[in-house]
Amino acid sequence: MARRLADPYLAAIRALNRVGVQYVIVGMAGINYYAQRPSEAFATMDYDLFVNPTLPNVRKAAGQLGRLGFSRGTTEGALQTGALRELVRNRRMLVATAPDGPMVELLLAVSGYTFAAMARDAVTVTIRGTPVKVGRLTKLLRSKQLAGRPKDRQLLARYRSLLETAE
Amino acid sequence: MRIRTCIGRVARERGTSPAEPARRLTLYRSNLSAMDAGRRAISLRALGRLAAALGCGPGELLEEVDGGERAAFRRAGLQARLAAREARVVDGTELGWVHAVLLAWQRHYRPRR
Repeated sequence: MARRLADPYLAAIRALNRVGVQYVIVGMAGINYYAQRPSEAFATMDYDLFVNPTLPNVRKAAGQLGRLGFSRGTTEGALQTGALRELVRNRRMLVATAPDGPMVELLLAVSGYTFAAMARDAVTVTIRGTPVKVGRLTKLLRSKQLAGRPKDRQLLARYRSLLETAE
Repeated sequence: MRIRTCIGRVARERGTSPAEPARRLTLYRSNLSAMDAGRRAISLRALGRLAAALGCGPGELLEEVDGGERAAFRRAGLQARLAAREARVVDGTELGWVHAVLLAWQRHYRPRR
């Protein structure tokens, strides 16, 4: 039976850090690191990592998560042998699911920014001593705006409201 | 909106150099650099050939110049609050509590397997 990880997100980050995978936390998970108190954080089931979309980097990331017990797949099902090259070429997302359910999404492209642009001024926070690279808040929100999906527009409206009411 | 190519970056991400597609397509390397710098226009035909040479879609060779640098919120007051919020999180800030919140949601919303 696969072991349950106390904090699968942190375990994933530690595994990626260990082998020097280039990544930046983006999306709602990234935005939450800028919350000033728990009531300001947004509920999300996604933990999005923007990984440098080179084949060696993505291969390293997928390998580490596999060793940690995460099952790996794409939006269309399990990751087939030799499919990583095609995934990188098409900039598709790799989904890694921890043994007890939580998911880490490896994004190979985000709206509005290249990996280099997102990583350039990313901040390195620490989670119980582990360094975690997080994209700048302004870029994470702008990327949401450029993506323009209904859920992104909803988040921006809520964030605007948060900024208006926060002290 | 200003658009430019990013041939050099895409080539490097694929483990090669911009000189390689230039050589294969008998283009001047300096022309590719000028396209990437936004100083020279690129034809759709050349874009398609470069995309095929690099094994990517033509759209991946285009990027908006400083497109992402515009603010998500236009009002100056909101921009200032956003900047202040961003400035509070600096390198080394300990944010373990964010994971505690994230994991609490997971326990609450996701059924146990």
